[in-house]
Amino acid sequence: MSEENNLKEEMKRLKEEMNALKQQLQNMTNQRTQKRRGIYIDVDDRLAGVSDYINEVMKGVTEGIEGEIEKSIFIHPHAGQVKIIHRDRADREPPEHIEKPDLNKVANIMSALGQEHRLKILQELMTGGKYISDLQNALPEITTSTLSSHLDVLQEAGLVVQERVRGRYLITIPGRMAYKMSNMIVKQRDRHADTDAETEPSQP
Amino acid sequence: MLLQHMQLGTQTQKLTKDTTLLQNEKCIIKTAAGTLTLPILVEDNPSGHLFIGKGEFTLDAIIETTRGAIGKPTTRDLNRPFLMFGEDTTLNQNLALATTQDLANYGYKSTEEFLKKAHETLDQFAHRRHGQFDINEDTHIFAFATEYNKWDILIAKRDKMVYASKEKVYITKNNDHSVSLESGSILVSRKGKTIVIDKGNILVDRDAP
Repeated sequence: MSEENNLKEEMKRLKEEMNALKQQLQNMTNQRTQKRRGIYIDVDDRLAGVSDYINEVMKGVTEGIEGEIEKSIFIHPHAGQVKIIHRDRADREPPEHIEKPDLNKVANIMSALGQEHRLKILQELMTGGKYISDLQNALPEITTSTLSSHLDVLQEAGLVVQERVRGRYLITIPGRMAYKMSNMIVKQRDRHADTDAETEPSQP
Repeated sequence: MLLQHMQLGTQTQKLTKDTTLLQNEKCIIKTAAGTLTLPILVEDNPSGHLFIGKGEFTLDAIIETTRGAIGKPTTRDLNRPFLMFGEDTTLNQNLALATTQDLANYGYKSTEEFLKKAHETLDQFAHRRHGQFDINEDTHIFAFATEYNKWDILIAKRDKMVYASKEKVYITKNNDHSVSLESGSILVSRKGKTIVIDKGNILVDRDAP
């Protein structure tokens, strides 16, 4: 009889263990679901009810955010955190599919930009069309013949155009873009140089 | 002025000095000394000139936008006949009767040969062109014969100008309003606001300077 009771006790204990395991499995399944949505809140089993509530709230918040920004971004399925990635960046073609530029043309433009005086001329023209006399006044360090020569180079590269009737020099759309781009490159490089200097370990 | 009523005068003249027929901020038309000319008459009234000789036409078909300048200057030698409608006092002061030598300078052996060429030119321009235009003191219309047996047309009235050729159409008014159509691209600019349609791309720039 006692053996039968012992067996019953054992079965009851096994049932409870099985239920506990089932519950644990259910919790794990819930956690995996939340992980897929990018949110994972790890809590003690004793707070399972609270956990479910929080997860439910977070799910609602996530859906709300997704709804608000549906087309511009998406939630990245990264465990442990909500990661926002811009869709346009994600949709970009991989580098190998990017159209290859005519490097000769690129080199010609870069060559035209690769002179401090020519960059100064572009800088002056950024504020509007100028006669050669205006440029001479603004850039006295450049001789007249050198100035004309630089303007020829800039015109050849399509960065500057000269009006034939009035004689003014105007910066073109590519000229304006090239000038801005060169400034951006310098700023970016300087920013990285500063960051590198900050992170570099100090010498003993 | 009805195109059908146009006829040429009979007195062959030449330019005694280099003469600027039109000049504004965007365009300049010059003719060289020695260029031969005949008056164009409408109902016996002088209404313009036909030119055969040398000259140069320059048009700055450039539009300034807040993102930079678009377009380029157009320059062409006027070594083919061209017409000018509208009177010009400076021109009239620089005219003298052409001599046999003046005609010979451009390969014409006689006045008759030159007149024949001049009439052919005017007929070619008036051919299939029906209509009329009114020209007042401020307006000048130029028609330049091209190698394609077509005519490039320039109409200028003070600060307004329209140029139409095989390659380009350019319209400008007081530098504030411009339209340019050229090899698949259309550009419309008004007081610094610009729309560019180029090979399927549309750029709208609303930033006024």
